[in-house]
Amino acid sequence: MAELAAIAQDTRAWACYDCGKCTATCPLVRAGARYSPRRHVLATNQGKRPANSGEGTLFDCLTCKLCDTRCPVGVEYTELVLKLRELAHRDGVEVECPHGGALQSAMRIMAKGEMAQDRLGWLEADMLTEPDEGELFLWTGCTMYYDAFFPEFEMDSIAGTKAAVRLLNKLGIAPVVSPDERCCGHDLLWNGDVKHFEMLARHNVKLVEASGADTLVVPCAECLRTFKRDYGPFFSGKKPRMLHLTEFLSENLDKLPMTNGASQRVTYQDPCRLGRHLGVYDAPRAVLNAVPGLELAEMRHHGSASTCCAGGTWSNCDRYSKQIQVNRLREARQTMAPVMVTACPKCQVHFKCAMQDPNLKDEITIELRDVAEIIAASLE
Amino acid sequence: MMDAGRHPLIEVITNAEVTGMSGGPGDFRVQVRKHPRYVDEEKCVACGQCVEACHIVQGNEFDYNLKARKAIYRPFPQSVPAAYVIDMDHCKKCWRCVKVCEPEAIDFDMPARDYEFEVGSIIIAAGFQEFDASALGNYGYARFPNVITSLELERMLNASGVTKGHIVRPSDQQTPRSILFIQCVGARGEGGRPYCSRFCCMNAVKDSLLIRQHDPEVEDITILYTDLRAFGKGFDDFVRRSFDEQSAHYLRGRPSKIEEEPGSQNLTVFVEDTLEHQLKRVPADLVVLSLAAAPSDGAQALAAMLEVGTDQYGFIARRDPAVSAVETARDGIYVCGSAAGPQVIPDCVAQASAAAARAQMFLTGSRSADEKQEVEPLDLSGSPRVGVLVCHCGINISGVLDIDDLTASAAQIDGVVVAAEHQFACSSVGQDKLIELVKEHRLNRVVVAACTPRTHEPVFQETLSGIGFNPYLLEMVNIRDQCSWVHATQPQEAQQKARTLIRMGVARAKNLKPLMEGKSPMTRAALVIGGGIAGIQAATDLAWQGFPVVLVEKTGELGGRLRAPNLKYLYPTMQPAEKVLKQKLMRLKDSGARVLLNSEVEDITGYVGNFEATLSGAVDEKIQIGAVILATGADLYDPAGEFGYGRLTGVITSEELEQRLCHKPAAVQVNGAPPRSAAIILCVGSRDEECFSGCSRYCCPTGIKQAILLSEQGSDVTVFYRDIRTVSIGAEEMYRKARGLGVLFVRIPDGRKPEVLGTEKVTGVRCYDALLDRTLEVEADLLVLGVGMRPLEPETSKFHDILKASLGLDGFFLERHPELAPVETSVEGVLIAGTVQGPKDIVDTVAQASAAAAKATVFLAHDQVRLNPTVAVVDAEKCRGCGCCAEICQFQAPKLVDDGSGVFIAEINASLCKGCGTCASWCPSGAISAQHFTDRQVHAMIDAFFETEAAR
Amino acid sequence: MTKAKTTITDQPVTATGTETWQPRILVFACNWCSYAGADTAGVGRMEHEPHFRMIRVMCSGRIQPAFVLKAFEKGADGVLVSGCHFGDCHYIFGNERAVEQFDKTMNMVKLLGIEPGRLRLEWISAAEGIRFAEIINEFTEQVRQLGPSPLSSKRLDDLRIEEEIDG
Repeated sequence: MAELAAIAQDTRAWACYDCGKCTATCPLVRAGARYSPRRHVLATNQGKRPANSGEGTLFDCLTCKLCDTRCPVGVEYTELVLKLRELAHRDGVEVECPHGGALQSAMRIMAKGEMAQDRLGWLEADMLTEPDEGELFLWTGCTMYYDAFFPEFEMDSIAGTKAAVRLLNKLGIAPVVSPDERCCGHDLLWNGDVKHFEMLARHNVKLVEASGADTLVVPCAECLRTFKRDYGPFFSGKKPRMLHLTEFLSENLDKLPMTNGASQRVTYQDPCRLGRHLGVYDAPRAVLNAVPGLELAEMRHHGSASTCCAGGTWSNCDRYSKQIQVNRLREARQTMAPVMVTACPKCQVHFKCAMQDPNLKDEITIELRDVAEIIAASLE
Repeated sequence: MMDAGRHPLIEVITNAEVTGMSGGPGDFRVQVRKHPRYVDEEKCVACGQCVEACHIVQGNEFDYNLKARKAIYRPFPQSVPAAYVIDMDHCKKCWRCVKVCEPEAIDFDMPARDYEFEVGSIIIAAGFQEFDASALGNYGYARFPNVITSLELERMLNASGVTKGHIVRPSDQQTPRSILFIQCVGARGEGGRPYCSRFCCMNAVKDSLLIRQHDPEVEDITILYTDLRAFGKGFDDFVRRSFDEQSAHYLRGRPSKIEEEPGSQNLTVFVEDTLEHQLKRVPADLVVLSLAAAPSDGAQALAAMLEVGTDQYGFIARRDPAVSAVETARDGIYVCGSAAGPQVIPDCVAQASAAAARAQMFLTGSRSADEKQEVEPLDLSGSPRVGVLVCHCGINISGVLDIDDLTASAAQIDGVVVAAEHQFACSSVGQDKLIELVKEHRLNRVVVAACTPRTHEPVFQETLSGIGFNPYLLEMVNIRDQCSWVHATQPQEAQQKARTLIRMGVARAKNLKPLMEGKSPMTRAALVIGGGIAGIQAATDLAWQGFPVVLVEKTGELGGRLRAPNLKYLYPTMQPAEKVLKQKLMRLKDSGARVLLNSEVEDITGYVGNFEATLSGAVDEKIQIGAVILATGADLYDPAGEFGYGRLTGVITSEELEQRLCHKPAAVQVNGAPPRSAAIILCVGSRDEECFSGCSRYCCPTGIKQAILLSEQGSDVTVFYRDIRTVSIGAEEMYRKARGLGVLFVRIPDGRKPEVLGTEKVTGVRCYDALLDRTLEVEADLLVLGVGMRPLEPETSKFHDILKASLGLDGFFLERHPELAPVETSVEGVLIAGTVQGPKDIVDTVAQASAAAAKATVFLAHDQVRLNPTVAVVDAEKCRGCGCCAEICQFQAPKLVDDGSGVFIAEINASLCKGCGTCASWCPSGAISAQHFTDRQVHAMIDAFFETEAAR
Repeated sequence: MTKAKTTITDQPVTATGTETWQPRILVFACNWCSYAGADTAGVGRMEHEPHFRMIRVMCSGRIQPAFVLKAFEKGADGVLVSGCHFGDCHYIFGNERAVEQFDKTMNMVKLLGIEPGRLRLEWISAAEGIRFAEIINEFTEQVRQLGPSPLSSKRLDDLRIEEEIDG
């Protein structure tokens, strides 16, 4: 079990002294699930694989990284889960994915490649973009797929992508928006499917490198985490500067003529990938606060204490994730803000799903917007 | 058909006739002679070798000789029993078939067999035969090849029929460019038949839509009609679809003759377009005669033997045509369907169930008990040990596929411990072999590669259950019907396909889970809601069979609209409604049903077998019942503001006229004097997109009945109609009688309404008469509005909310299937009787009420409900309580419950779930799995397909 | 049971000698109508193209995007979804739900760049054996014209990449 020992080493699991703070912190556990990060750490330290069936399996973890921030000895439980899932997948453990695994199939289809996707149908006449080369590459992510797959939620996550293009145009930039962009592989990686993840990673890195861009702007928190943390080995030359759209905008606030006062109250949902995974908390807030008249009302849990959307990797959808979403939306409603702003389209999907609840929807429904949409609306 | 053929309590004797009958209700003795089919039904496996061998070619009667058959044949592909029959009139006894028949089923010396049955009741369902069109010389049938009958057309239109769904001219096998339908051939007075055949209008409309679909080369379809009789539920909407899609040109007129052009054999039809007032010569490549239904040849003899008599047309006579569709002159003998006169399918099916309900009254006490021997279940746990049995099916499979290769290939699949073959896996020897394999190899999964699971899965399941092997661990692979039979010319490809299918089957088998049939108790009592004629009938039928029944009526009196002062006489017999009601109430009283007047149902909870109803009013109690019959009736349209109703004196509704008839039986009076003239406007609030797009069905005969009554008391009567739809028994004759009395009939043009004259009191009606091409003005002291039916509110909404049974777009309760399940709703155990389902007249209401009672006994006859385990189940940990399942399920099986955790949770009631699996495919989190068709099982099959056959 | 004397492989039977490419088509059918229609085609010995394999479910409403996408992922050249005609569904409206699922699937298929002609929805009744055979023939031809799915020939590439990763 040298493999597990190595993992224990890499993730500081060895440091664990079974205090159980992670379990007590875990949002799933707080929502009622029988789940224990501690036991997974302990099993790893003992050279045993955590059970792959029954209660509290590896695939239940939201990978929200909340426990990591609380661990007194700095165990990187989230990284441990990632590694253990790789092993489980290699051993043929089948994850029961939500939606029957349809989204994973779509990702693997993209990984196999060969087909020309028809993913840019949303581009509008006024948008200036470059298909192949340019200084700035706008990584659009998979919003068009979410909108297509969840018509029942009346999803409009593409609006955030469109807003991102318009904002960059406003700054005088015609970004590269590539028709050959494929899924970043984030979910497959977190499902343990390294093989298909790597196929995607190779393609995507090659695509960005070939564009000659020295800046990669990403509106999706998951894609950004993947580029910055997981694509490293695939870059051959100098890596471009990789940053979230809100980071890029915050650097250029002076060039954005935000004249339209929004004069509204909004609250902001920290995506786990952007916040705890990448440490970006201030940029989105700075950008929002720059909108004249906009009032940012924080939820009870925010910043590094923020609760996640509880569905990040399409593998852990259940009644506890729903409970987390419901609680989170209640928090959002308590701010009295009519709009909840996110910086990750996945948050939108999962909160929208929760808001379909026939019994609770009146208590938890709130308008969802991508941060880019809010900023774009404030220009003229 | 297959259900009946397979039912353990139904013995099907084909090729047989009744030869004698004695005894009486409760103990009839019936003699039956079964003519030999010369093929042993038990032995025949329907492999078809004999047909291949036979060299005698004959016209197939089923296809009106449009298609050939052999001397040994099956009349049609789905015939039951699935055994061949020999036509000895043409068989030359060459023995070719005998030689090829592996199961040795053919016996040329098979004798006729005589049976005697002791039965409690008899149901006549002998059907009709089509009118012989050659009797009407001027239509040229049998003289001109391109004049065909509607039934011949039907065989052509059938996708598996003679021309594979395409229409061709018999003379040259070309697609006709123009087709003309002639309606009412041999009906409504023609060929000595005064009645309407009911089904022909809709049939022609349907055919026109189908032809458009199949054959775009057909340019024109013309339907020659007199009145378009779209009287059934949803029929008018169907006609509207035909109008919208312009599937046919509708021409009002009955043709005088048809001429054939020599050479081309094209036809010309001479007809007056009565709405355009000119004689037209309509050219047609093909003419279709919509034939009337005539009594079967054997009807007279059968009626005589059973001592029930025939009516004036030769159909089996009904005892009381105004009230009961199924009762004959004798108790214990019932009739249903077109044996008693032409019917549309929904009515046939309702009558069939009604006849069954009545028949059961003489069967109580002889119900068969639910007995099924419990066998000790085998231990099938552990990793999958799959056994594969490949069937030769004689040479049906082995003639095309290499069975050795299939077994060898199967034996190599991971998890397969044995692969064997057998000549006829379904034979008793084959079944023994299967049992032997299971025992010898300690199998815990079985794959049978043979024919279709749709017919044979139950056979193998039964065998496996017999030894305690969970029947849900069986997988059937269809390598006959869907492989060897259809790819015989490409054996290599077929072989590959069969191999893959077996691999897919094994993959699924490995993922199958043992399932246990559940049981839930059945409360053997029923609640009937509504004390009108439908409720009375349903309650009576059930109570007579000994089931406790509670009949709840909101008002203080039973009888609904039949009760005085609502209705005076019943058409067509003119029996006083009161008398009929009195008889019905006496039967109800004798039945022992508990009647609660001035009472209402507040709430119903639970599910089939276990409903609890909360009653209020006369009593304040909760009752337990197994089934609910909803018979709350319909409301009548309120014409307020239309046709001067409420503004002019002398304008009343048809119901108000009945009420006046009840109060002043001698004469209807207007302002103290009998009206000199009266007008009746039909279709008020019916066939009107704005209120109710359908036909209310009862108003035409009622209007005509009232016209006769008014006419007989000396009034000049004019009836304004759109189509006269006198489809019920005796109604067409009534229509003729009214015309004989001098009642004037004016056809209201499409899209227009008659104009009512008068300032304070009605003086007349003005309407453009398209048939006359003149605006007509008639005097009227009295104007009767024939008001249509509409859903009764708030009852309909209330019971929709309580029971969750679906409503149709028209607002009436929606039957589960218009043809197959006309009295069942989307909720198991909730049945509908009478006008709560849609407009209908008394005889149809009564039939439907009995049908609902019969369907209720399907549940009440057992003390337990057997629960199919192939239903959807919820993983409580995974359920997000999003409610998708509850929203999409038509059967109310999933329900969201609050378990206090903050997130609701779905529970699926196995008693209500039908196992379609739709909710499983909608469940976002994967909490619901469709047992026996799980995601994992399907994915395993997909993987197996593409792993077996790599890209080539 | 005698084990096969010849070595059975999972390679396609190529005894035809003609190495022409044939499509691999997956058909989903509901138990009551379209599967029964296929049986009817069998009873009537209505020959049709043999390059499809069928998966039976109880209702077309059960057929979810995941099934279809999985088939494409695994290399299906075509996928046919079939059920009862409207108004004929054994479960009242299951087939209408199937349409919603199908539309969703089609959305995804188009975005992914799979030719829409590789996916089809058809209603076939139990009596329509001929229609079943015709649709199979027609769809097979349509897929044949489109050629092999790009995803079906990717197995080698996968291997190559795996080698790359391992190496």
